Amino acid sequence: MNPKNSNRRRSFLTYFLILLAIAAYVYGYGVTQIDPIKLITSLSKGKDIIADLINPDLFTHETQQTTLDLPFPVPCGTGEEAQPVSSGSRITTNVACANARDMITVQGYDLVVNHRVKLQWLLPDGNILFSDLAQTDDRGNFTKQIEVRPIVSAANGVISHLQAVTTVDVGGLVPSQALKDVVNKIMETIFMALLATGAGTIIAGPVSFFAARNIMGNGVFGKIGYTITRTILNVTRSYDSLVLATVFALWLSFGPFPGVVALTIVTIASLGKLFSEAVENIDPGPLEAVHTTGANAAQVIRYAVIPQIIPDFISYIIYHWDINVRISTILGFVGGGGIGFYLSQRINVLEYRKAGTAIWAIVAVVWAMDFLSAEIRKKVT
Amino acid sequence: VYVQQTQQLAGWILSKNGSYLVQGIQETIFLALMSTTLGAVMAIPVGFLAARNLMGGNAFTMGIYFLVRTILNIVRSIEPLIIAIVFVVIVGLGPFPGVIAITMHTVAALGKLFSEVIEGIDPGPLEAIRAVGGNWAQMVRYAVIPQIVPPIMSFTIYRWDINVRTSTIIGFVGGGGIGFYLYQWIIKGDYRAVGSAFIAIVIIVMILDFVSARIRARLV
Repeated sequence: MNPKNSNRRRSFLTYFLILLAIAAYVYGYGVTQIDPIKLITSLSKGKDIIADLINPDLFTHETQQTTLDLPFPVPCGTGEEAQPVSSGSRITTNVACANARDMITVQGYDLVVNHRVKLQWLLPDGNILFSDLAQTDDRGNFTKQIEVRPIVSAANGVISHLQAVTTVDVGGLVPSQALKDVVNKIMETIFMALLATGAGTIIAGPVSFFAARNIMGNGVFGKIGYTITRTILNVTRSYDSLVLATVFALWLSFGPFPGVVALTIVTIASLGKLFSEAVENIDPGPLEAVHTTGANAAQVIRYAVIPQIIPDFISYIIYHWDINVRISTILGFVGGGGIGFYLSQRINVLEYRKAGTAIWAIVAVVWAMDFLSAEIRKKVT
Repeated sequence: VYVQQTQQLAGWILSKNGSYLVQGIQETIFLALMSTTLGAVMAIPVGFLAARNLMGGNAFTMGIYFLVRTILNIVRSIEPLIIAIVFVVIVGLGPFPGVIAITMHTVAALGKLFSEVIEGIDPGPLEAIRAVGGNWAQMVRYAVIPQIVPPIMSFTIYRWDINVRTSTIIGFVGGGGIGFYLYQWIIKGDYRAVGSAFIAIVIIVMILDFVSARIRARLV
């Protein structure tokens, strides 16, 4: 074959590969349903969600609720009408009783000024029916027309009450319920990662020796053991921990435990491989030196292998703890415990500010772990 | 009285789950490909903006540097799955929110790595080109690009490996790919289908790992 021919063949191959790549991208564009127009048209919806997410629900004011109550028989004659009051915070209606579907006018006097008032019915069965919102003026009065819905009719001789509820802030800021829940769940997340890393390390340590070529030697059993261990580690490593967590969540029921089990298995697979590479890279000199002094296999491992691998092992363990914290933030999506469950629930019920609290907590923890693991690894190695 | 008989007509065809599996795998492979490519392309300018040696000139560019770095760090801490769950709400179910989520995470992760590559370039060749009278474009062409392209390619391929794994699970929250079907099957308890998905995932992850190792060996 002359050089010119081989050159031509090579450039043909290059063009072919470029064409293939273009075809793959065009096809992939269709398969993945990339739709920039949809992204732009849904921007208004996304803007609100993202605005809520970056404005998390952290603190709340201590509040005090005041409820004004007015017995209101529907229809007339089913119960005792309210006695008119003329001083203090009070609500009155233009009629003392009404029939279903009548419009009545509710007036409030001497309430908190310039504040929102929630009007509601206390139904005969004890449930609350929201009616309307009113706004008080600068003297604390309000006037609002509401409809008497049929559901507020008296039942079994018990009548409905019309209520006006004002909620005012008193005192300073306190952590909101969302913040308390998130802190609770994020602690669970960190400890899940810690447990899984610990358990994974304990198992991966011995496993790594079976996956190290230099330890297993060249015998038939050694080779078979090496190949089996390596294959199992490689296959396990192909699965994302979330896949395993889903299976275990179904198997062991929901909660942090299946998450820890899944995370442990993934940790064993990936630390097992990293550890075995560290074991393969050890210097044979000290081994031979210890061996020639007449030491047995256990003593060789104790005095020649372990001192060489400890720094690498610690560095890998801390690195993996960092990874495990990241993974355990999403294990809850499939029922594996931790912050992820809280986050996905809040998004499902459209409480984006609470979801935002969870996301910021994740950012803070991952950041802190990143920093911490880098610092520790710098110290160790 | 009705009597029904089923007769085998011809050879093997894909079962219903089998065709879902093929579709899921196809989506997974292209999800990883598209989002890695888009992410890498977008990460290059971001990497320049996040490189201290280029942006350290005055207070304004330094401000941009800190802003870009902070955003990259925040986005990088959020798993693609969390980004996907938000975008599923915004743009609806399907592979598209998955592409957006993985792309965003890729931009953040690669942006940081690229900026470190740019920060680490050796000033020697730059000065040499300038000393022989090369202009700015020639300096970029002959001194900057040869230094940054191999590590950028290497990081992108490394990211591709990660994205293949992520795209197998992005469907758990409605982001497309094999994960979408796998999750349904696990919840439904259709364990034969789950088994085939598991086998398929191992095969594609291993094949793509092999392909990426070959491409890396070629390019770098």
